[in-house]
Amino acid sequence: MDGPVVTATLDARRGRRHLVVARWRTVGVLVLPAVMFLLVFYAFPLVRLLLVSVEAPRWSVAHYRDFFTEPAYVRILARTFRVSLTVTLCCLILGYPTAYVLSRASGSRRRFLLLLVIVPYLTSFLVRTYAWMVLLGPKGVINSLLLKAGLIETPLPLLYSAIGVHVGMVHVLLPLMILPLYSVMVGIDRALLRAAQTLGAGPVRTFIRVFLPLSLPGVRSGCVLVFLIALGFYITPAMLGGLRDSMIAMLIESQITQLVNWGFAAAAAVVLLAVTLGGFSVIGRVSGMTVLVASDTVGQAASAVTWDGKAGGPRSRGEQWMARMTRVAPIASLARRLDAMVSAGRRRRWEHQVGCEIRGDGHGGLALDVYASAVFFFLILPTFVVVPLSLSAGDFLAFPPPGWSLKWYASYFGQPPWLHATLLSLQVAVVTMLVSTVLGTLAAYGILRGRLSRRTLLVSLIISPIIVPPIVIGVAIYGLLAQWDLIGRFLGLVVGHTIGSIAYVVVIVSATLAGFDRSLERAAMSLGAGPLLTFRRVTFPLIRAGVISGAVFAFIHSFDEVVITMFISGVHVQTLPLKMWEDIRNQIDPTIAAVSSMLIMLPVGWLIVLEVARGARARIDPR
Amino acid sequence: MRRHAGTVTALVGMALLGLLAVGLLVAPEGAVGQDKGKVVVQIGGGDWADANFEAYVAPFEKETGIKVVAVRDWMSIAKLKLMVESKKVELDVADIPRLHYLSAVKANYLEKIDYSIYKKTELGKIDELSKQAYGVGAAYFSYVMAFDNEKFPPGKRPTTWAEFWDAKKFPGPRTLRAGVYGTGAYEEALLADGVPMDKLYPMDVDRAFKSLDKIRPSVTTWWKEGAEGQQLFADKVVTIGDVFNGRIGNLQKKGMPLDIEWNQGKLQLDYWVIPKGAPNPQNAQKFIEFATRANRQGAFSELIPYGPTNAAAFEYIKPETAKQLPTYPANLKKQFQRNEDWYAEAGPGGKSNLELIIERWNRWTVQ
Repeated sequence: MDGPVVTATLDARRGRRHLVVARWRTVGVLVLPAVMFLLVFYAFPLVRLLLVSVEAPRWSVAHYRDFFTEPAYVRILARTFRVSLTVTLCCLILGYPTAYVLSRASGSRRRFLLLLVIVPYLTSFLVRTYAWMVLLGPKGVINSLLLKAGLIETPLPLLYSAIGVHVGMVHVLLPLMILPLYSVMVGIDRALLRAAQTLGAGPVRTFIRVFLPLSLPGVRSGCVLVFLIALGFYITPAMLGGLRDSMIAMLIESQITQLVNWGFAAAAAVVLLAVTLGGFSVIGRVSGMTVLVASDTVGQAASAVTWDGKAGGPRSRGEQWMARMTRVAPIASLARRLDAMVSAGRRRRWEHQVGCEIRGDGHGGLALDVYASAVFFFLILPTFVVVPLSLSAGDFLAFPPPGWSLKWYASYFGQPPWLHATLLSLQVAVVTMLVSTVLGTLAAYGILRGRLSRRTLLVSLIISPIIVPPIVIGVAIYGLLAQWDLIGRFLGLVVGHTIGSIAYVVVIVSATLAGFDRSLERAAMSLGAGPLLTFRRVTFPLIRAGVISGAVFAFIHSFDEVVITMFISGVHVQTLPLKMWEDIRNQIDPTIAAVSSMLIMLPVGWLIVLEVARGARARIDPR
Repeated sequence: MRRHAGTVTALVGMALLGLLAVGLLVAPEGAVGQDKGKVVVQIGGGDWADANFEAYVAPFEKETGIKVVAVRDWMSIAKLKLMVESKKVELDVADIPRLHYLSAVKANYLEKIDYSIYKKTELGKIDELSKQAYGVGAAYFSYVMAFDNEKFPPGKRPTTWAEFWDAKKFPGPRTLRAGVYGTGAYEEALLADGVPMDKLYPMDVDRAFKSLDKIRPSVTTWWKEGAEGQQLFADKVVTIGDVFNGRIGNLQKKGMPLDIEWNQGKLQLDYWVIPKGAPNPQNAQKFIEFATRANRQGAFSELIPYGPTNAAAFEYIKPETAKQLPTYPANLKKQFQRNEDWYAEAGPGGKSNLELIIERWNRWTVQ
């Protein structure tokens, strides 16, 4: 995202000399609808949340004092940090070699492997977490298999434990680590590695001195993103954890649903928000950077499917970050020490190895491939375990199923509550998609083409919902929506979902906008077309694929949303994820497995939509 | 070629708009507009909801022509507070345990019950505890010890909470109720620690949590909603636990080898209530009157073995079902009644014991 912004600024500067400059000035107005929407339904509620937490206008810090003087709450905060850190570290360990393998694969193999990362990313996280319940339970798949094999005598306590929480969270967040890593790694110039090796560096040294520093921006993006999103997790720890595994989002929820303690919940939400947003400025220097990192990943996910391999963006971004990151002292010194350790052995071996390395298949190649395969397996397979279970003839979840039948599908289609929930979710998602695609596309166009002051601030406002924990948004907008009588209303749900969806559309559309040749627009303008006509006849046809991808992500965001929805859905309005979430807690009958099996087919459908969009774009813009 | 791309977009757009249009036509809300009006009833979850639906909701619609919007969810004192205080009451009828009823009355969250619409013969048969100003008893139910018969055959199973607490003598994955709604296994913990059944209240909360400390390592998971406790037995995740008697009763009906122990069971009562500001109060009164009739409660007990509050209901209950009910005399005398009045009392600092014990639970869980 740095790239487009910078490009746009340069373009704007150049445009100053241009005759049509006055017209461009007005284009900036296009961000207004999205900005107004977000100011009213997102920024204002967050400010209000802050005021509630200090009991304005009485002004009291009592809730914060309660929070920080109660050892139990401090413990929850500490645990939230610890779990997020561990999860981030696990994701890095699993994700780095995998992204490496991904970045070295070529052609259709890379495309296939990328799908293995993106399909789980597009799959409902509720379904993925549910799959882990099924896998980890005392009578679940893993324990059943281990018991059958005679490796254990009593089931291992995997579910309702810290293990469950970690495994589930790593699974949900791993794509968010792999994608930024991959995007930086494909941008690394292979010639640099070859140069290092011809100059006498062995594979280890080449990796440590050349590849690792060049990939650090990806490491940083991935870690920041995973860590920040992990901090606000609610559903996964609530489903897979035990009594002790509370995270701060669960504390916020319980303060409201059990004690109706809005002030304290608001204070806890502000703490979480502060940690999420403020925590980044410790890691990074530029404020607003977090959201750019987040958005980069989303953009990458979309671009990986729609216009695979076009690595122009990542490369320029990589260069910028690289300049900062290679100077990071501790890592450099660590590298030097490791280097000294291996240097003796290296001299003897390098003659053999350098030959292989240059061809790209070192000794580690096989081990790496095996490792990455294991990670791909971990990413993609667990979700599919719900399919055989959904075909069970038994009344309860059991593995292996006692027999086969379609009765749980019949149960889904025979129960009006399920069908109504599905229909409602589809409707909300479609309207959310339409609203956010229009607002988001306009905003992206305004940001990149208009001449805006405070662009960074605007971009942060628009994109930050991707990392602000949904529980915070949910608690914040409840009050406003209640005031306007929008709780449990269709419109209220659309508002709640659009906040996040706009961000996805803006990110994806602006990536496309930044990627095409602006001289086409200038040509149209110089031939007398106004900005509107230029947009309609030149720009829009060129970014259509990006708009469609943005729309798909907006739809998915809405269709999958459960935490915000939980707060604003009122009493008798149930979306599909909410119905699933409540049923998972209330009765774990295999109907949910049937619903889940149908939901995991959705990403496949999305990929087809995106593929068609890509094909359409390729025909218009054959580059 | 550009035309082709345009066609794709147009098709996708049309498909989505079509979906929206179809959706709006068959939207669930489309059913309003009947002359008799409607009533929104929260019916809980799992088997309890199924029984409510079959015994009360469907026959009520049939008899009165009033449309019942049945909401499968639970009411809690927090949700009630949220609704009533924000003046966004979307529900007409809910059932809440006496534990929450007393707090709700104190906070003025409930509408008065109109007993004038009751038939004298029915009203006379409803017991006194169930005839409250702001609620009518819906059913009696108990927390009881339940076992997997394969792991705990008769004679080799605990019969008291003290024995249940002895995980060495009676090993096996266990479950107890989580304290999220203030309904933890505190009485059971005190009984396990040697407090006699008639000396439970006023409750020694410190002692209860100390006793819970002892059992905590042996508890596989703590269930929150009734159906969850039932599910743990159905899936054989646990082999022994403290759960609602009716949920186990229904698993027994399905042929699962489970048993319950009535000794030291914790008996309690749910009320039908109308939240203050309910949109259809008259229909709500009618629904509650209907749902406390003897024949309806009899039908309910056949669907899930919970005790009627209308004594005449026993005329409609099969003898073998009656033996499964918590209010069956032989079962009743083995149990104790939870003292909800203690929970409603204000503790130090003005908060009720109920609120205090929820907060205490939340702190205890993260220890």
